[in-house]
Amino acid sequence: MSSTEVLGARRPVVLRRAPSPWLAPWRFVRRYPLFPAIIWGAVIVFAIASPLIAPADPFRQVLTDRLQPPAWSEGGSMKHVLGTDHLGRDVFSRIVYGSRVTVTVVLLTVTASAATGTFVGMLAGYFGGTVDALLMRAVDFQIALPALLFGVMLSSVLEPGLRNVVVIIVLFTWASFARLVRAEVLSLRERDYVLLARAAGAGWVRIFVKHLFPGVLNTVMVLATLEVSVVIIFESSLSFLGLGIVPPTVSWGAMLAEGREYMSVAWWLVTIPGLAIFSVALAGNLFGDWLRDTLDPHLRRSA
Amino acid sequence: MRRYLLLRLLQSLLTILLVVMVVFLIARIAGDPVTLLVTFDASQSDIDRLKQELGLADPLPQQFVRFLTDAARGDFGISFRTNRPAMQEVLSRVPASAQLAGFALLISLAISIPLGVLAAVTRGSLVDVIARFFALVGQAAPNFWVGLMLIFLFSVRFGWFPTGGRGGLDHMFLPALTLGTSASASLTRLTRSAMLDVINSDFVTMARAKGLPRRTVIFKHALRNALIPVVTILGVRVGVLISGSVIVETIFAWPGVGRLIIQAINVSDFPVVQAAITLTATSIVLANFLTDIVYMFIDPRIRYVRS
Amino acid sequence: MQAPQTRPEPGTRSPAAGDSEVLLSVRHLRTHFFTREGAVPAVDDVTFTVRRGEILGIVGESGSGKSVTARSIMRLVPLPGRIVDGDVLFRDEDLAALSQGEMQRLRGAHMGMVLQEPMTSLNPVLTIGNQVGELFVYHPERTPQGFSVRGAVLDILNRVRIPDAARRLIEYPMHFSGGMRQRVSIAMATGCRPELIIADEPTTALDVTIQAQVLELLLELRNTLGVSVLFITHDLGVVAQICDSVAVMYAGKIVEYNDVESIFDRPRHPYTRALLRSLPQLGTRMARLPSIEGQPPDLGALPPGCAFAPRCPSVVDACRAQVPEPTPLGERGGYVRCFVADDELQADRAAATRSGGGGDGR
Repeated sequence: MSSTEVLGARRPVVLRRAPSPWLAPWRFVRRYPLFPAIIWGAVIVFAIASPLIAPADPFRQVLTDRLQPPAWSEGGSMKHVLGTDHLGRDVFSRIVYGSRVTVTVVLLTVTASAATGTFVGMLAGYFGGTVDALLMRAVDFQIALPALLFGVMLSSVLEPGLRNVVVIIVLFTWASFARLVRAEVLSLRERDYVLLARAAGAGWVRIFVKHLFPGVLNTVMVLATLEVSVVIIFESSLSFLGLGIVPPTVSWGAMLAEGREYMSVAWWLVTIPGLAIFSVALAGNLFGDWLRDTLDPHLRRSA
Repeated sequence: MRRYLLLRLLQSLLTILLVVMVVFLIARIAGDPVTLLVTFDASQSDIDRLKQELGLADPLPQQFVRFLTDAARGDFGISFRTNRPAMQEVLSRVPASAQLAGFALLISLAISIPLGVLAAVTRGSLVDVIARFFALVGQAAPNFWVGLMLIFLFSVRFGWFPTGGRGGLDHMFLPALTLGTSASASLTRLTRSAMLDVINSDFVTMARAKGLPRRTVIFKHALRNALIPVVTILGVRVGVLISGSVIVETIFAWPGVGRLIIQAINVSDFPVVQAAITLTATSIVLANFLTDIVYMFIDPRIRYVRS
Repeated sequence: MQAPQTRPEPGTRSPAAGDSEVLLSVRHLRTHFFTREGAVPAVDDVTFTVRRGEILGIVGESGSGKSVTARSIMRLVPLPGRIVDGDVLFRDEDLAALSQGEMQRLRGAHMGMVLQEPMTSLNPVLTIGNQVGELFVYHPERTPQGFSVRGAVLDILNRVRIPDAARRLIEYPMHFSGGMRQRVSIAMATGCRPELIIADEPTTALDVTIQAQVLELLLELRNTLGVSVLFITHDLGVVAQICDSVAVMYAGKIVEYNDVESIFDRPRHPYTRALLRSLPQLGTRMARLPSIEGQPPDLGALPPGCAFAPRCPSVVDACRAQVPEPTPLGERGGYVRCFVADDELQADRAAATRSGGGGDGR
């Protein structure tokens, strides 16, 4: 709708500057979570159906085929769509199998972190007083600690592996949930339905589960989605440093570490696993923003 | 004002104490350090004797107190690898890390604040879209990937920069850029949204109604207020940045504390790991405290209201 | 038979008593907001005139367009709003045609603004002395002769009755109460002796006693400085206290415009009457305060015809078919937009002629 057409305006209204032509596609991307859905969908499918999707055994070393470039590059072939690494292993298959680690870590970590943080936040927000003060001290402390530093230190003394990685990451991410949930609970607990429940003699467990939890669910879901990118970057950083998920298990971070040596002759060994990590993280951020905009329009900031 | 500062100082000291405790405990999880120090054929009595000497037979709290008092004096033991005092090893790397982190912070601020302001002031323009895109993408890109990509493109392919090592501006540029990416992205986002909030506020309208020039309205009125939340976040972002140096220094072979940590971990050189992590974490806590002070200066409301 | 009377085109003359020269003449102003859902006519064909030293009250509910009118005159309409039509003649310049740079020259120096919320009108991180002083720093030619910046600041703060002003120059807004902050806003709006002050609900957020003080202050400033005031409000009680003329707005249009006595004694538009009826009256006992039924309309989806028709107690078919044009009221530029009022006016005129002519035609 052109402003000059409105009501036969006498004075042509020249917009000081036209909005950039890029604004519309940007708005589209933010409004419809197409990209996140595709990426996460693909990763989940990869993880579940790895043997069906991967063209080759990710552990099979074919030394005669080492350092093959991806199919679209010179020297590449469809036999190895994304090329091979220094041991002749098919990169695409390794990406597919690597998604298992990604999905598992993300699922376990985010769930555990959200659950712990939410519970702590509810305790602090609902009971207040000393409980609140103590718990918030713990929260502040965790947030003040540089996560990667201590994560690195912790994982160096623990054995590498899935379980320890999850524990470590949860240790450094639960506090954001706690803080957020506590803030929500502080306002929720003054609501009528909570006061009525308390007056009716409901115990705190019941109140937590039936009244507080549904109220905080939206915010928790948004944060959980946003935390996915934090988690996956944390895990892949640890794996990259040789401290998280290590060979022989296939993880994208470790793939990057292995490929680093050969980067000058085989760029795909670093670019492709990195792209995978980046996509999942980006999808998480986009999805989280979209979720926030959808669930709580007045929280909506133009971002 | 003084009460607020004192309170924050005490909180910071308490946090540092807890940090030391955590470092101590983590190292203890690793198991018995003695076994790392003795040779294969040591007898049990040798081991016991060594344990006694090193004070490892004492109850844990006692060990901790000793650790704490030693740490306060800067004594973290001797590096397993080089046989020099652990803290000395760490301190020798500090200038390199400080240089890189400082430069990274500078670049981040130089990019993100102008970008955020411009994006807010020219809402809907190409700059705005670029800023929002950058804020989104920059926070999702893992810094080890960004660093390696930058090396590949600009060092290997184009040869504009050296691939690693410490040196002048050309050596510092890529690692600083990598280190600062995540901070730049989040600072851009924050500056932009803070500016947008402020630009729509009444006092900015009043400033315009007074006939003040545009530049004055944007900088003296809008930005000055918008920077308040940005400074608050800055403390947190500095912590994340310093954390990230562990990876970036490793990739670019920059001889700083971060790289030292990884090297020490790989050879289980615990004294050095403890010293490095304690020092780094402490400096982050202090950096946060400093941001609180700065915050106090720029927002008069904090100065006069009891916290 | 009466001689044909030449009346000014509705709104092009101020209906208030007095003969000072015209300061501000708004004609057929239209300001639209271009939202994603379409163009919203926040201000739709608004015409009025303000003379020097006159206090005009613009009254209406939220969403009536009164604030946007004020902002349009100052050219501070927030995006996505834009002035799409009309003239805003101020001291021989059409403000609607000026660039922002040219407007900057006028703002502060020749026109000042006071906003509703004292808590957010002042910059929280700058001292009062700094904020008020800016006015003089950037308009040195309008600083009272012989005063330094500090002197001018003290002078204006004293004028607005800030006690102990010298000591308070280094204080921050948080040290001032709401009423004080409004005074500071008024000081910033009047420091350079502008010809026009636009006050957007300046007393709405204040206690009644403070409100009275602020109103008194505005009157005094008008009397001493000769400044004209555009006083936006939803409170007819306030209007009765200080305004010389009144424009009643509804859904972006002025539905009645006249001097203050006529508005209160002989309101013509059903909306004006309804507003007056809803004022609590001392001395009468009422079970309930009458209020206007219904909700203010959605400006993006206005019905054809008069926007007030859905809520109007006197509505007739014609109201729903067409938007009423302004019908002159009196000789001085007042008008009303209402078919029902038109009929009433005709009936009055007829009655007046029958009863012996010479009626004032109102």
